[in-house]
Amino acid sequence: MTDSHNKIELKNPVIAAILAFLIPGAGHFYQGRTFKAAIYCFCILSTFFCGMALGDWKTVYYQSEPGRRNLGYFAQVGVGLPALPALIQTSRYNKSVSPANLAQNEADASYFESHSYHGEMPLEAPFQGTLLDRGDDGKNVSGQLDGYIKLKTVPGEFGTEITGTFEGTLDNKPISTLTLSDPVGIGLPLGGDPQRSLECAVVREVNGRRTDTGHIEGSIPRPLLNWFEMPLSNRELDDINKKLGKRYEFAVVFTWIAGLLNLLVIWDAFEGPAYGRGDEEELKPQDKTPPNSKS
Amino acid sequence: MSIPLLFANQVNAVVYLIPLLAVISLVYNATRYEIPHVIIQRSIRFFFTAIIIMGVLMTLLALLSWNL
Repeated sequence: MTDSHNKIELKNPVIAAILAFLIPGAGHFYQGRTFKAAIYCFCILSTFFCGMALGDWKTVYYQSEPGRRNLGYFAQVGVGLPALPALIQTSRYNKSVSPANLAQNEADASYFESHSYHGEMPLEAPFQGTLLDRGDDGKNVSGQLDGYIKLKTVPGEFGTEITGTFEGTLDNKPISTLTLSDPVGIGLPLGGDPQRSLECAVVREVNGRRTDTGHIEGSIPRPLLNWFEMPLSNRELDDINKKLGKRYEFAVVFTWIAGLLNLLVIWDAFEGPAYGRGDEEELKPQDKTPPNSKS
Repeated sequence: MSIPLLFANQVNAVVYLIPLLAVISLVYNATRYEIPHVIIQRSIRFFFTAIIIMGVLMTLLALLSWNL
């Protein structure tokens, strides 16, 4: 225990340390050390959130599957409350993915298959993506879609089928409503990306028969709670590395450093600084000088 | 790769490293001292010392990778 312990009012050090862990600077604020509280709160939280923003908010997550565990989270969790939701999200994610799918993670087999999204129908969401289709006149139609998608289940010839519509624009020009049908592929409801993949077939009446003429491929948004600090699949991790490159590595390092710095802060709240009021390093030689040295 | 290109390639890294270093020096010194002006003085000294050391190391590495 340092001498400074006696010179600084640490109140209850255990409570201060817990507060410092939960919110950087809160422990010092509780102890009345507001200047240090402000430094810690600003520096650590800004480093942590800058790291998250630089990495497209995909830098903090905990992957608990054997072989894919990310030890970096144990540095990030030092920041406390801002990183703790990752533990809850991992638990939710693991529950939503069956053990059979977890075993096939290398190929990301769980991406589309084996997910009973029929339970989510009817589904209505904004959609952005691409269209590749053959129009009523037989010519190929392709471009960027932006609009609203509606899907629902209907009883079909071979069981429950999915059908729906897309209303919106193709390359910023309004188009007539597209009729959608099986096969439909939708990404998992929980994932590390704010966008959830969706693809399905486009059907038209050709010679009086309902015919599959093309398909749409794109994404619908995930609610914040379904992607924030959620574990990234191999595919999502590849995508973010491809998109951000070196910036993603920097972003992750920012969050690690923020967490590790808060460990020092927790110790400072618990034990006080190495040099408290009046016993700073540079003052030591003066203290040791005898009072009658001038004579 | 020529030296100017080598340095240009590292510019992005420096942009991220400088604020990070400022934060580290401020927080580290705040955990060691209690008086505000001492914390600030020590942080500034720590920051510039680290910048000089990293600059020397970077120059050394750039020289070692000359013509590679």
